Amino acid sequence: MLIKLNKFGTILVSRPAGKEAYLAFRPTLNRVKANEVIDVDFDGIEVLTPSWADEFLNPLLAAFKSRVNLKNTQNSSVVESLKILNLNKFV
Amino acid sequence: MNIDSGLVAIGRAAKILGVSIDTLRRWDKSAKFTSVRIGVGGNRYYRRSDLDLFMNDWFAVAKRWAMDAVGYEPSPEYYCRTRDVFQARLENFQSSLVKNQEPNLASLISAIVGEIGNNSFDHNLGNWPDILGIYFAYSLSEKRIVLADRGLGILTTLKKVKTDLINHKEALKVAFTETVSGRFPESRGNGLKFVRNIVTQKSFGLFFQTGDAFLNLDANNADVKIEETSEFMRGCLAVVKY
Repeated sequence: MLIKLNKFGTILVSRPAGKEAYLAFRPTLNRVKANEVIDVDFDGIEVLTPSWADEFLNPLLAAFKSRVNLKNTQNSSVVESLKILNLNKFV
Repeated sequence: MNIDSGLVAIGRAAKILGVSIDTLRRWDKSAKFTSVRIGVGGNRYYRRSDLDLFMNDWFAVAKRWAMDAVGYEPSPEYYCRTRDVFQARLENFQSSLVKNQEPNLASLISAIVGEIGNNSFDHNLGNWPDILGIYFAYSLSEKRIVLADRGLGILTTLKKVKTDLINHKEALKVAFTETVSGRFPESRGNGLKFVRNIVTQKSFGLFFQTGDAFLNLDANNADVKIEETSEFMRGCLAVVKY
């Protein structure tokens, strides 16, 4: 499954917004098959904070663990947010 | 009514500044922003030049707003009563910023502004002592951003989970150096560390005050040296320079 984060917006900043994004997307995740890889695509993201990323990515990683790949993470705020949350290993 | 072209009546001055007439009277009594009286016991008037100066120095306006003993809503131009208003203004800020700055730098500046602003909402939701929301102003030409709130402040927030904290100085240090959150058991507390990393790596500047403690963070103060001031502020005031 491919999750395009820019479908949630391009300035992903607050905790409530991150939490709401995950909750809204949660039913779609029911379609993920056993052993299917989940690609999270950061293409088009202008601003990301650790707060938004924590609320969206950590529940996703808790549910799917090493099946999650983070792609197109070149944006500087994406790099720094992933670094402080220790999520670089999923890139 | 204008007595002469340089003086503005108190009602008009209140509208220009976006505060109440009572607030202006109080500021006059406390010498925070003084008026001109025409005759003994006459009405209060304000010099146009004082009003212009007052409005242009929005750092002073933000500080005054955050420190005033009695809360009032700031000028609508800078007031984000709710998080939604802040998000909308942050998006405007980012779209203006990216026209003047390299995109990766703009992205980091907006990210730290977003963290600081949202931190105020996260920690005061449902508990604002008087005025809800934050003050958010910026100048692209001066490369300066001001954020302020009249919330509970960092000490009160962190003391809920770190009960041994004894003063604002300690609380401010913890907020910028340890991963601890006033919203335990939620996994939080990275926001201000993230801000610190960016500010010190990119040689931005950050002034941050809460209570009687403040820091001036930059590439030379990466160790987070906290200082004290006699000017007390219950909530938080942050100035970002880039």
